[in-house]
Amino acid sequence: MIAETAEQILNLLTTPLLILSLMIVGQSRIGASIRLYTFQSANLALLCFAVGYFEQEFSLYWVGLLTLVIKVVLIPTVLLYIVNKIKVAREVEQLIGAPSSLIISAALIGLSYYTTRPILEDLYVVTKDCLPVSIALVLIGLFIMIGRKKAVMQIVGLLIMENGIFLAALATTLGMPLAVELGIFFDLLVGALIMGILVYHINQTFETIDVDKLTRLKG
Amino acid sequence: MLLTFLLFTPLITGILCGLLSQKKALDGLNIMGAGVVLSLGLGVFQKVLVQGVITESETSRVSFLALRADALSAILILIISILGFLTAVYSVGYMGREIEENLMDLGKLRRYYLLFHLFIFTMLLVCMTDNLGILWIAIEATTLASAFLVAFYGHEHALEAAWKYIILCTVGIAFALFGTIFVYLASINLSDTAEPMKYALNWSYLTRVASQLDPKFMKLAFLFILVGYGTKAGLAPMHTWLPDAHSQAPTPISALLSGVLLNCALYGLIRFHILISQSVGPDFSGRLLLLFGIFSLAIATPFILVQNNYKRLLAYSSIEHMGIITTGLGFTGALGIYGAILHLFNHAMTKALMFLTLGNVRLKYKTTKIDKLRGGLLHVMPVTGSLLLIGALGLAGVPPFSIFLSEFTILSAGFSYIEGPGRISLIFSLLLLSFITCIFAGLIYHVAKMAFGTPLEKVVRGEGSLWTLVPLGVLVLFIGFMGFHIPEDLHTMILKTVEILGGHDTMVLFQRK
Repeated sequence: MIAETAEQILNLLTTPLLILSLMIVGQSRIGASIRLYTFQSANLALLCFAVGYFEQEFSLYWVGLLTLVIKVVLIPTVLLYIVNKIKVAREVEQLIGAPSSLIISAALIGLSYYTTRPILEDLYVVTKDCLPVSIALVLIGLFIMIGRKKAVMQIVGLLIMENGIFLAALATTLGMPLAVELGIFFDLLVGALIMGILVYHINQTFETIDVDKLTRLKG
Repeated sequence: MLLTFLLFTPLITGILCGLLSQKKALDGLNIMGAGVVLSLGLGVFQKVLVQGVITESETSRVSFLALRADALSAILILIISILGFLTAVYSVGYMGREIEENLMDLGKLRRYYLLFHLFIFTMLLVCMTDNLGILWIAIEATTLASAFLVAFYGHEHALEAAWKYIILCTVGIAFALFGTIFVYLASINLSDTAEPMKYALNWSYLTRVASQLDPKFMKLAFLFILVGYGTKAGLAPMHTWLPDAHSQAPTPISALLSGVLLNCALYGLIRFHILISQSVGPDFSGRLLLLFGIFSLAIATPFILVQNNYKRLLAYSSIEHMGIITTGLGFTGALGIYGAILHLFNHAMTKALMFLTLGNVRLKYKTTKIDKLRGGLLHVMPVTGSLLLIGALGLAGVPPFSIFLSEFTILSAGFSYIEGPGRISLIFSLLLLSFITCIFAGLIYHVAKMAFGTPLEKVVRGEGSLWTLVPLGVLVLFIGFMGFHIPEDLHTMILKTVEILGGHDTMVLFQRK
């Protein structure tokens, strides 16, 4: 009975992750995309706490807390600061229009459910239903990186991808060991900072952050 | 304590460099730090030679933060500490010259040394950690530490290169994290208790249980790892960031990126290759390595033949040599692995020599275009010019230089590979041979165009400072001497590495009398 409730609560917490990533795909403003990423990370932190509670894994509380500090507060703050600072046109500028992007994303979600079926049989943790969602997040993150012109959106795509991988670790093994998880958070934070600074410099030098203008090195 | 000291020396040196503000003090500290790393690195090498494996951890139990060095790590540590020291010495001359010409200021020099030593620190961590999760973190950290070094000059090209570098490598490495998660999954599935073990990602634990790991997960893991660490190692088709980053970074950094960083990424790949070989047999991962190796050679060849930028020429040559090493590993026999590991060392030394000599050329001519030099380097810079020629011959695989020896070993492994479907390895060996030949022609053509001929009249004859010449001399000694004789210690160490990689079968071949 308790196990069933746990599963239902976890499912309830997993679905918004997908919905939020779809909303980012459909979003046409950079600032709003970053805020949606913040919600997704907060959702992930909640999931961490829930899993930690049901499985009596206390290290997951720490992981959830770190998610809140780094992915909900620090990284979005840095990104929003840089977006404001460079005063770039706020439009995302999609290479593929929003309707077709959404259809492609839906197909990617279907693909993730289809491909993870054989693996799910070999998993024994309570969170295993998150695995297809995590793969979907990785694929959607990649799709955002490919389909958007603005450099900031590539960072957002990368971050969504990382959320997916984080979820995959949660889904298969209840998260990596705490020390490893800590290091990953550290890398993520420093990486986002460095990318942010690079975007700033790129904007200063090129007077644009459209990545399709970054094509001078060839051969 | 040796490993801990070795690991933290560059970190402390880097931080101290960030605090200093005088050029002399910065240069001194830089060389001192790199010198300590060199001596400790040699110390670790000797200790591993005697003891086989050294481990250090903060507690007496198995710890996931433990440091560990076996033969494979020792070879990497040797390469990092030698090239780290030589490039640190070279940097004093190179960066000093740029300051004299007002191309940069003291603040930038401080940042350069800070990042330089942090970069060394992350690379040392890659080959000294016992935990495959930390290994991932360290490899990602090498990208982060070197991203600003690639963007160092801050102009359009450098920024574009740095952006491509950090985005492509981070995405690539993200896949490797996925692979690591699958290995972790396979590892904790072994335990009968429900609680995940803290040391389930530790190398010292995984090697003991490798043969029981679930082949299904391990195969899946290796595909992700290959794409992930393969991106960082510059294997085609994930190599596109490499020529940009290697050509835009300051020259001493290019030498480190090509000579050391690629090897560190390859080191991560090799670790997983060992595990997967023990779990599902060597053919699965070996075949994949073979395929990617040859494909890298195939991609690199045309770009080398038509290249007009000498730094990009060397970058594509790095892709080629990474391809050769992976091909050697893919032949899976002891001979192939021996050749591959030897090639790892030889390529690092030769490529560093090439980058550093061409750095002297760049300091003089301020261009990286081959046709703008108009030849005549041998007249203008007799020492640098002749070293460049020797380096190019060595890099192209001409006897009696060291790369000839390792390429020959790999090829003979390929042609004599009898177990399994021999015809495949025969075809791959023929392909390898023909690509190496084409690249030989391209490389020698371009370098001869630079070295010979009559120079432009306005160019003043003369060499740079001794700082930028002495390291080259040391490297030439390495590639010349090792063409005739592999030092006994290195030979023993490579044999131990071959053993770690599971090449017991033909060990007999190597018994020296």
